[in-house]
Amino acid sequence: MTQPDGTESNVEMQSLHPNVKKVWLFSSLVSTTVFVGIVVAAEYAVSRSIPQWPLPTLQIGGIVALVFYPLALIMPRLQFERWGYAIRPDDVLVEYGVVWRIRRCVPRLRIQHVDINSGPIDRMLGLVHMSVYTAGSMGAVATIPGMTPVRAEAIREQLIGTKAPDG
Amino acid sequence: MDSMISHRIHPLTIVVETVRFVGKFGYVIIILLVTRASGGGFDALELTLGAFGALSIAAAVLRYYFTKYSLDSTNMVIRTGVIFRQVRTIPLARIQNVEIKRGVLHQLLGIADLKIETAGGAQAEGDLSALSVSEAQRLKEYLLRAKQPDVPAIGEAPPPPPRRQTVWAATLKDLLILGATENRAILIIGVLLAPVFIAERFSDNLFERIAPALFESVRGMGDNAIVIGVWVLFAVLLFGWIASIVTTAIKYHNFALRYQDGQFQRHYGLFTIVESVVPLPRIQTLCIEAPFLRRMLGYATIHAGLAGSVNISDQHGGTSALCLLVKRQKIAEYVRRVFPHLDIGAVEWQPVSRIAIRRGAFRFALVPSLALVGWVLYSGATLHLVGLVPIAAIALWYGYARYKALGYALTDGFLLTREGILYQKIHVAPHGKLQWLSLSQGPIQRRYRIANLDVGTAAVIGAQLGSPSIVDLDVDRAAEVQDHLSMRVEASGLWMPDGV
Repeated sequence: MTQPDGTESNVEMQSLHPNVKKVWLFSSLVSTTVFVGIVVAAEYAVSRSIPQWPLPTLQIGGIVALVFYPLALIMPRLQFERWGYAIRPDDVLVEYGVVWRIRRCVPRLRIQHVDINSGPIDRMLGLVHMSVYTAGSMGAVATIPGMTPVRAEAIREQLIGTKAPDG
Repeated sequence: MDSMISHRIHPLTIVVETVRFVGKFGYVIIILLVTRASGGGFDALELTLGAFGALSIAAAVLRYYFTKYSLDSTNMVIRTGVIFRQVRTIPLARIQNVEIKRGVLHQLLGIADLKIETAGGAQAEGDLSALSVSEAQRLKEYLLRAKQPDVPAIGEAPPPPPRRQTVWAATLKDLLILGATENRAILIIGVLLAPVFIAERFSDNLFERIAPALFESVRGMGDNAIVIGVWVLFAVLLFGWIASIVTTAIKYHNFALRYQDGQFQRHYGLFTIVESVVPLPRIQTLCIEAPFLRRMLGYATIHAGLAGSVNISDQHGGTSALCLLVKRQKIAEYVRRVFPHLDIGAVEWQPVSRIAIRRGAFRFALVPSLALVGWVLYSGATLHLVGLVPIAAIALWYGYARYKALGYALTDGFLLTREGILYQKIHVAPHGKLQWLSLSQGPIQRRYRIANLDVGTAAVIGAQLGSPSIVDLDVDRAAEVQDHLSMRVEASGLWMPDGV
């Protein structure tokens, strides 16, 4: 990336830990199953209550499953390929998104606090995710998933650690 | 304080947590009692109650064991969560307020909750429940002593004049123009008309039934019915418009904006009188808005976006109108009252990508042309496809107008963005108040290598005024502006809710 003053900031984008694909796969399979389940249940209820329902049983549910399960299998890979982050001298940079792409900067001095979170699946795969908050933000401004706890702590230390940030 | 030794919260927390848990799920017990009253098994009830009690105590014990906190010279770290675990790190310098809270139960048990607030969201960022009273006191003192903000001075703030001076005051004429040029006028008409249309939809011949005489007379008029209809519509429009003028005049009656000792004071209203104080440092952004009519008359309105309050409960964030009606030539003068280092009349506006024309035209044409094609497919009237020509022409005009309306400016210390054809909005955000910068691309934007650059501030802003955003900028340029701004933000120093 060329800076306005002409210098190249050669900060390389870091990719996430590959295990994060498994976390995403798990959650996308769960949410797809829930969604398909709801569709199937709704379809069943409607076809039972309307005698002249034209479609054979579970047809819509089947189509939905055929469309969404492959997506659930592919999306984690695509997401992983798009995900990148960098801790630059002035800010935290995250890039992600398959269909809608986001590139977000959070200047270091604006960081109000940092969370390191982990759910049970994260912990099974040895991962945590890190959230960064600024003033006036209702939720986290940026969340970096798929980090090892050691890396997350190191980055947190770098962002708001004992050493006062220069500048 | 000892560095990085994990502390547990007070063991009596278990009691408080159990009570809280029971309080949260107390309705379960009530449901059980009700079902028992209607003949449920007695043993089953006792079993369930026992299980519920054991569960709540177990939850409280687990919460107690998994909550820890530690302190070093710069940070406070709070660990919470049993299944979903969280390690929250709060820099001491960011702490705004520390509060000790004791409910009745807390007082009986001799413990206290400690709430730690930064300038973040609505809730306390740190919540230690519960500690011994002495530990809570000790922590509070330590945290408040340690926070000591080192706010760097930015620029030389002009010495505030001691006297109170009126910056802007509304005349009746101003208020009448303001109400007459409000987009709300159209809204009121919509609200008035909507029930009529809905009622008409759901009940056939509604008018015939509620007003047979009127209906008969309209039918008697034959072709004149259309003329009458237009007149009725016109009357409703006029009524909505007058209503807008009157409500505006009442709401902002005697509006006056005064300046004293670094803060603005607003005073207005006929029936509901509002007096509010806007401290200058709390202003995060300015928004200069001009609905179409107002702009045609050469006027605009200046709003301020304010940061949500942390510890001063009577000052909520949001947008406050500072100057209701300002002549275009005078905008720069009023903006300078808030941001002395900005001359908005002299900024160089830069255009966005010309692709914006195509994207605007496409977005405009999509729905009508699809509807037309659908109609042609349905009716088979191929000739009607000619309608695509005017749609395309209007869409192109719209795209171009939208492109001309979009723009941004980077000055020494400020970001300005501009948007809107019929409803123009100019956002002004100083570097020191920016919080984050986000570049986003939808599928079509990606195809043409353009992007939106959105900017976050601590201002709590409603949907109508929105927030600063550069739309449809060339993606490389957008990333360049983003990185540039990010560096400028960092250079502008620490952000404080009441900092300059």
